[in-house]
Amino acid sequence: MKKIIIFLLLTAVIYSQDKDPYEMLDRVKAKYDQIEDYEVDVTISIDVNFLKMPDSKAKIFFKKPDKVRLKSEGFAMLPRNGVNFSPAALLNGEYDALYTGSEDIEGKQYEVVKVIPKNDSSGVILTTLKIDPENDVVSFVESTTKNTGSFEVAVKYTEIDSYHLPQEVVLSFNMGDIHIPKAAAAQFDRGDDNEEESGKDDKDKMKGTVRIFYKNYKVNIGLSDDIFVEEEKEMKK
Amino acid sequence: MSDEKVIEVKGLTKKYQNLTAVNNLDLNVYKGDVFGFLGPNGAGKSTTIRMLLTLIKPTAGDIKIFGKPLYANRNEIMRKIGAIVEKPDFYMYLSAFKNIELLGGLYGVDTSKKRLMEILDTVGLAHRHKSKVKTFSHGMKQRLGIAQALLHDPELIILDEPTTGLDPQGMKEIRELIIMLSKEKGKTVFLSSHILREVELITDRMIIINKGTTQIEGKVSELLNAEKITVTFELESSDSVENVIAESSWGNKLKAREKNEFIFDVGAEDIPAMNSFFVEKGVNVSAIIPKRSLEEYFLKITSGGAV
Amino acid sequence: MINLIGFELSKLFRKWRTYIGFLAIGVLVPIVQIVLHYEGDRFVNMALRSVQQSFMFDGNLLNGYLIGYLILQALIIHIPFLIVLVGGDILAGEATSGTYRMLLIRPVSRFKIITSKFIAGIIYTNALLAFLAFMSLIMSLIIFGSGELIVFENILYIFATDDVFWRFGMAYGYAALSMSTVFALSFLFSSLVENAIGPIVATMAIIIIFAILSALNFDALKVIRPYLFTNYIADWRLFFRDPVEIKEVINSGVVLVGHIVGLYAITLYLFIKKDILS
Repeated sequence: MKKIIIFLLLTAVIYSQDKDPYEMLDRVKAKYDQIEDYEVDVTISIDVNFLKMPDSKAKIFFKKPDKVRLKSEGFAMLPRNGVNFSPAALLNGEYDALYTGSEDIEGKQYEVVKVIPKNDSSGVILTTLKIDPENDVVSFVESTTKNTGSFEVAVKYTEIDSYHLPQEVVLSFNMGDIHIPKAAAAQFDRGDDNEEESGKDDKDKMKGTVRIFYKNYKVNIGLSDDIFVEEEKEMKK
Repeated sequence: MSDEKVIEVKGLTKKYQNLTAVNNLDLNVYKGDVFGFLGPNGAGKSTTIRMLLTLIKPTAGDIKIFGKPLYANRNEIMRKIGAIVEKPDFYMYLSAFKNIELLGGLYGVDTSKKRLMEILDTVGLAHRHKSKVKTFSHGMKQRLGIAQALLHDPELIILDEPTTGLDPQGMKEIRELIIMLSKEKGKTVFLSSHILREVELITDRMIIINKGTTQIEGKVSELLNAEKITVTFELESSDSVENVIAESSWGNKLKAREKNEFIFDVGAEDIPAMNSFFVEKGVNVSAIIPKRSLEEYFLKITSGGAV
Repeated sequence: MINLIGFELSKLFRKWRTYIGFLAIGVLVPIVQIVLHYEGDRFVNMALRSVQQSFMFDGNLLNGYLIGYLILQALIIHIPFLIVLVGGDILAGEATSGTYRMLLIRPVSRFKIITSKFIAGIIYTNALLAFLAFMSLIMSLIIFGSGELIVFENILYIFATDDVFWRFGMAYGYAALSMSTVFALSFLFSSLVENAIGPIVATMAIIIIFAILSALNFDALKVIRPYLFTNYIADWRLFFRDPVEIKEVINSGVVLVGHIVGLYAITLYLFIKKDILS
């Protein structure tokens, strides 16, 4: 499967090998590397098929290379994939990169680079990055993962103290099977529930869109690692 | 006693699937009467009383109480009736006071503590007003039953076997109470009983029913007139005795014969003459038993029950 | 009439039987609250497990609302038993004790007596539910605080803190309708016999049989399902979906109200005709 993809991409590359994708990605990486850490207020709007919840407000803490902590007064949730896109995780390992040309999106030119990690551990098979060449930031990401389906991220940036940081992120995903446990204790359950459930398999796929709006960035303020400890603990559960 | 009918029952009938409990019963109770409703157990007394109190719907017949059709004027009529049906049952988990307070509340009459305590005092239960009814003896419940029947000062009091299960003293107290209610307060009392003696002691008029139908009705003083009696002569058994009697002037007074018992419809004053007659004819008399005819009759229908 | 209802209520609430339900709730709910206090996190994690791989969370979902919801969901199916315990006795008990004879010779029509007993029973039913609401929701909110409510209803719902209380209000309102239907059924049975055991057993039997018929997934049974009232009595849960399907709620509510009115009318008809032989 992977080989076929590489072959197809190579064929495409022959006709557009006028820019070096590795150099392009290095510039992007360097750009992101300027950001040591930040703290930001977010509004999260989740529109997915398996869950309904109101927009939530939270704080996101980030620290290089890939530490993320979500903090909220009420309840908030955030997809682990794609949000706070940092190429670090993707570009730190070995990868093959292919430049496939430029693309016009809403009147703006983007350079399109396909990245194939050599290491399977990330679970990502193929990622397409659309890079804004003026600012050296990734504006669109499309990833296909091995087990958890695919997702797309569109990022609008804002410039704060010469750093480019996300202002609005739209994440769309279509993931593999999820299993929502059926409500217990349903002696008087309505019969029609069963009919719905026995319907289409499609229903059991996680899909939807998450929009995140960022505000009040505080960049490179020297966040302590302690802030992320709790989160790591929770992740282990 | 007046001519004003308090209860007027015509052709009252109650049929269950295959049983006729009350059959074409007529009944009149006059104002001021103490009316005795007599009959053996199972005669239809209770069914009749339940129909008078709208607990059971008649299959046929008319009931008028206070001159008005009962069912069309139920609540108005029931307001003026106090009753005990069969044994007095109360809310066991409530106190005596609470029971009559709640039941009295249904008449919308004065249920002040003073008034209720007065009533309880009348029946001798004032000292136990706080006790739950489940701690009461049958006699106490019976008296509480009287209390609840009187607390709204009714014109008509219907009592179903009110002395059942009471000791002799209790019976006497209830009888005196009934007589007092009638004579001093001018109440009309409808009293059912299976005991002739009880009815004789306190009622003015009575009716005897059996198998759901009226057997005898009238003034107690007339029905139980001591003048009208039967006399049973227990005679030495011999075939000729019947002939001896038949040939004499007593022949047409002979009512029945059972083995050596000869029952005559005669007056008490005739007993000495009859006795001499048998002695003259050489018939040995072993016993002479005078009985009032009604008593005789009632004994028969109650199949030897207590009289 | 108000007098009469007071009369019935004062009898009802002087009976030990009436307090069994309150006692059961009063004992059971605190136990569940204590258990959830220690084990509730596990429940929340279990609920979120399916999305945990793909999402990170922050915030505490183990709050008074969740506990109130879990208790309501767990206990409401047992409340009918507590209701029929009283409902089955409300008329038959008077027959057993012989007090029909005391009661029905008063200058009050049977219509009024039945109606006031019915209303007293409905008041009991609602009082029991109000007590359940107080113990399970209000007490949980006091102990555990408020917050977003996470609920499974085919999909996972997380309701904003200020979007929950009205749902509970409506759900309890609907549950009151469901339980009143149960009461009305036991009331009818209670009018037919002279002992409370029969109506209690008969009502529970009908609820259980109907519930099983509702749950069995055969085509032949699907046809009769809409005619089984048990099919509607758990629809308080519709208020924990978003959006609330108002049409469905109204439809179910109308079915239940229809049952209540119908059962009451049948009881009235039979009882007014009834010969009191006890």
